[in-house]
Amino acid sequence: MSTLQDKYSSVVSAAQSAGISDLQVQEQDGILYVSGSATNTAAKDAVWNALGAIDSTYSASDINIDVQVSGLAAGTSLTVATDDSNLNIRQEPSTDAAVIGKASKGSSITLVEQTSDDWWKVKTSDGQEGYAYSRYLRA
Amino acid sequence: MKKTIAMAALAVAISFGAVSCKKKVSDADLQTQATTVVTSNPGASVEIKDGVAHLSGTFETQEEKDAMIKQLKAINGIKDVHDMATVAPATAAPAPVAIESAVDPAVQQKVKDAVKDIPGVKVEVINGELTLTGNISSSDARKVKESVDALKVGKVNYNYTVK
Repeated sequence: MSTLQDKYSSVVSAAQSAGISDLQVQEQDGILYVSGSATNTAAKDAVWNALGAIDSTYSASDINIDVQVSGLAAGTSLTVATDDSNLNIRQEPSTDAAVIGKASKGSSITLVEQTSDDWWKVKTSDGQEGYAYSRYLRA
Repeated sequence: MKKTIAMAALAVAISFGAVSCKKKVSDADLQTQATTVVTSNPGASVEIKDGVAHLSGTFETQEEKDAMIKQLKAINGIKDVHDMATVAPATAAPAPVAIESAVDPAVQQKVKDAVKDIPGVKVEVINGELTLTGNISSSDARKVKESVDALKVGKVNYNYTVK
């Protein structure tokens, strides 16, 4: 086991216990890449919590974690998890795109499709469809 | 009684004769046939000694190994197969992680999206490496790293002050 794998072994074991699928751990150019797919936000969080236990400032440059919540079916209910403001629903998957709707913190919206890792197409309770930044959605 | 012994002797003679009639295949011939069978697995090799095949090397599965032993035993003239081979699943070397360029406009847009809601963070590309400076809370630092790590732009310098 390499030094990096040793250093971040708790992150890898957290990913294993959280049931992350297609888990890949590889070292390249001094960075440990940990990637895989999570079935829900809690599983993804478990991996990041493990990193936080080692690196409380989340500033490590020698580990790259790419665990994404994927494979969610259309119609999945998502919870809006913004810090305090409303979640912007945009016309296109970009922060440059026009805001066409809002969803309040803690409310539920419906998944239309996981367009990319960071932008998901959603439908609000009043039927408005658009793109929301996935960081603020919990599945 | 004498007749019985004579009969037995005859039976023995016949059986010996039968064996000697069977054409003995040379080790060299067996080696050729066995090698043909074994070449299907580049990790394995076979050596014939006195009609016995000595199989060595590695197989990905027990099934593959058993199948080859069966094939070797089926060769006319091979008395036995001495199994010295091991089973070791091949570990395919993973494909290298595809690294995006930090200056790629699509990447820059995603970085912009990632830090939009997080005040106090400055993003620059220094010597081709994405470098983040400023002041940030620990929970925001986690959000930024979650988004930026997903971009896989190689080394990222998280040089901000985390409060």
